[in-house]
Amino acid sequence: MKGRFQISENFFGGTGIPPKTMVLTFGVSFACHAILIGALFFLPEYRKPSGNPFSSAINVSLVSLPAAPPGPPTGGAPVAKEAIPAQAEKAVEQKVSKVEASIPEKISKPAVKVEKKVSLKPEISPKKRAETAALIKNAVKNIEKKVGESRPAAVSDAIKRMRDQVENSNRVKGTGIPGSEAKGSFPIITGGTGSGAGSSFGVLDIYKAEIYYKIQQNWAYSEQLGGKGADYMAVLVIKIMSNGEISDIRFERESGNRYLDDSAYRAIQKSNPLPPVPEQYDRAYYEVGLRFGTGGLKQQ
Amino acid sequence: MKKRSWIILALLLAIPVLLFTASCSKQTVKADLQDAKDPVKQAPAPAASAPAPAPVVQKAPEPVGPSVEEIAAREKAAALRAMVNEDVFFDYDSAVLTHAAQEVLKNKSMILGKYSGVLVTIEGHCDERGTNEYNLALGERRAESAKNFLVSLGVNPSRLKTISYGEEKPVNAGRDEDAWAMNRRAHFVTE
Amino acid sequence: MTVIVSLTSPAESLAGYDYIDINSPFIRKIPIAVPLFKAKAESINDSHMQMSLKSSDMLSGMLDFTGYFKMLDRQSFLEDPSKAETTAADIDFHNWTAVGAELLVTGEFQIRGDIIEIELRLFDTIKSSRLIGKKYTTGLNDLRGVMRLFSGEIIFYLTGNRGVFDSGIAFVSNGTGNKEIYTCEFDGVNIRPFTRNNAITLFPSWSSDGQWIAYTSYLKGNPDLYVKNVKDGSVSVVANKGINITPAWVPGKFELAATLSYSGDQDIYLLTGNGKVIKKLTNERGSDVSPSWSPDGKKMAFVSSRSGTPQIYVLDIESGHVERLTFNGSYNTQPSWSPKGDKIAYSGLNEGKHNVSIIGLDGKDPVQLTRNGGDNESPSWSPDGSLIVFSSTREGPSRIYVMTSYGTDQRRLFAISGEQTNPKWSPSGLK
Repeated sequence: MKGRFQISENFFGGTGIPPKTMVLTFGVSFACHAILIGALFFLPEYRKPSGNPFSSAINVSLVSLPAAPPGPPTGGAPVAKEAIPAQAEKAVEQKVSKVEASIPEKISKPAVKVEKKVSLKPEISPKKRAETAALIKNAVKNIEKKVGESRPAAVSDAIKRMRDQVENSNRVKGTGIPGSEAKGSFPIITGGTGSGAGSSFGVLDIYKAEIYYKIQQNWAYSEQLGGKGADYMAVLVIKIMSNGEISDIRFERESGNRYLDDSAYRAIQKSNPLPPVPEQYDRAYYEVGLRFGTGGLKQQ
Repeated sequence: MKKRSWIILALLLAIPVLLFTASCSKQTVKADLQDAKDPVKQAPAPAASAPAPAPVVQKAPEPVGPSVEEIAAREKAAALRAMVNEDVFFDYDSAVLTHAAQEVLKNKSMILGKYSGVLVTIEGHCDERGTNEYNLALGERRAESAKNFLVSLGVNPSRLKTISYGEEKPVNAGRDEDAWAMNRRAHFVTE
Repeated sequence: MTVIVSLTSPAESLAGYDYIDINSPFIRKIPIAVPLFKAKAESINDSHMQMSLKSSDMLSGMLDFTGYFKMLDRQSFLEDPSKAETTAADIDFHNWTAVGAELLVTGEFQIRGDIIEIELRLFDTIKSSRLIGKKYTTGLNDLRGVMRLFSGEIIFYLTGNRGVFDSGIAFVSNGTGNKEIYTCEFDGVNIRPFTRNNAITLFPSWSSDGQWIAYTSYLKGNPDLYVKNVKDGSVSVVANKGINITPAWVPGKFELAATLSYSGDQDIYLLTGNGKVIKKLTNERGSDVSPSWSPDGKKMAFVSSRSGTPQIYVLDIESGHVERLTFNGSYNTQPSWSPKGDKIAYSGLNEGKHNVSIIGLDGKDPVQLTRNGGDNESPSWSPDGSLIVFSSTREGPSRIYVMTSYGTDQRRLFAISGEQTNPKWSPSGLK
């Protein structure tokens, strides 16, 4: 910017260079710039944004819910199975910590579009399969019922994926799932139960997703009022009765930010009652911890 | 030998003629200077320097064009106008005098030298970029910069006042490089 | 929005339960419902309805201004307005939690001639309890005063601070043909001229008791410093040779800092409120302008060209030590020290545009709050440090804007003839 104005004033006259040379030089310069800029314009078109926000989660292609259970239960042939890309299974194995499919035997596999026949051990009766399918359908329906105006697609996608994963894993394994041996808890991380054929999500995980969804939707926190700190985390523990009613809320850890703690408590209160606890969970109440943090808040 | 004497004769004739014309022109120059400094006394001077044989001729007719006083006044007015109309320009965010700026100031210093009674206010201005506060300070630095240079050229500092207007009084309201360049100036106002 | 459902958290709690991580709230503001206030009268006529609407809108507007609240839409309310209940005993809080409200304000008023009596209550809908209950009596023409008071009560309950409702803003506008200083209330209402100099007038600055505004004016042909009393208009002048600009009052004192150049260099001096020089604060050759005091008056931020380009520095008054604060960019000016003491807002020039940024006292990680909208300059904090007023040319002509201290909710305050610049937020406790 320095002094350029002076040059512009004496553009053709003052520099002592003959106008013709000036024009030629500018012409060449302009052409070069035009080429460069043109290239910049066109190149980005060929670069597609890669990845999706959930690449760290389960990588399963979505399918629609089955219409009806298949025909005769015997002989795995008519049991439909969607095509799961082999790589997706692998991805699931690698990226997702293994989950024990804590689904009791009565879960069955719903029928889907047949892509290829897979021989399955026909150990699960269609009745059981249907029941499980219904269970899953219910869970999904309940979730969908609570769709507000601005339902985060991401969450519903996540739920969908998990649902599908349950279906798929069961189909793949085809085994009876270890029963509801009350181990005192339902640990999330477990080793493979010998099936080794990829991991799967249990009904409880779907339930946890529902809990997350409802409470998060109800969580109102003004960053302007309470501040934003990566360290702020309140941990509350709730006990949910089988009908979904929250019978107890207590603090396992206060964040040190009274407003944050209060907002977390309210979020839980507003979410009462939660959806009913899955039948498969046959304890008196379901206890779960909720970790509220502001780390995810971004500056606008 | 004959040639040489012709040459000598020619020279003898030529030199006085040359001297004569030279002295005439000198006298004319003197007359001009006297015009400027002392308009009152100028009337008799041309009469005195003009060739003696024609004094009567000169005095008789009315002067058709402007009088010498008027010419002088007009010259002064033109010089002062030039002082006012020619701004000193600066680079972005700078109070340093460029070469061109110094040339302009040299011209001004000559005018100021010629007309010693003239007092001047130097206004410092900025373009609209930048913020008001800092620009008010920058404007003053520009005015001071111009003043100091004039003082270094011999102008009495008591004749030079400075004032900053920052970005508050642009001459060009445009929002491009040319407009901004016009606004980054030290502007002279005569009293 | 980060929506990672980490159901697969590695830690198994000792007690044997799992954890669900919720990393960001869905709602970024406190949802509050302000239904139409009720008229206590035998029969409700038009003027009652008008007052109903006017009073509840007035309060809503003020709460909305703070940026803390999400004002819920009255259209979505479940309650029948004609049967509105205003006291805790009668309110069915489920009506309110159902529409997402966490707070509820009810109002009930009675008009007697030109006096209005109004009861205002704040409820926590989740705990079904009343938080605040106040009764005010005032002239009909001072309804705003009541709403300001009650808004202050609400903010005090939530933050421990009375908020901005009793503060104002001074600014410069050139609608008359000359730049003059004007004042208005915190939300841009009630704009009034403060100077009528018919000469370029700039750089208003409020004293910390709100009684005085200092400014620069070319009233006498030169940039002189003026100190004018807000109430009685009495004026004193500081008319040294050279520039007398950018006044900034010392918190809690009848003293101010300003840039004077009579000594030949442009330095910041400490002056009494009457304009007498106490001492020189900065010394380097070059321009030192735009002082801004820390809330405890022990430090002063200012702009200096000492390193070659205008940058912001901090002076420790007692030790005299000066430290540079800004290093990003080549033109950082107009510092404004937050009343909370922890941050300084300023305007930085970047790629030909000015934008408002905030920086901590350690000088690390400045955060840019405005972008892509013309030149955004001249930031000034609200007295509670929650909002920032600034000027913006995003619409074309320069206008006064307000935003939260996080840079959200940027909105124009008003538009009057000419262009508006150099806003300065007053301390609280005005009038």
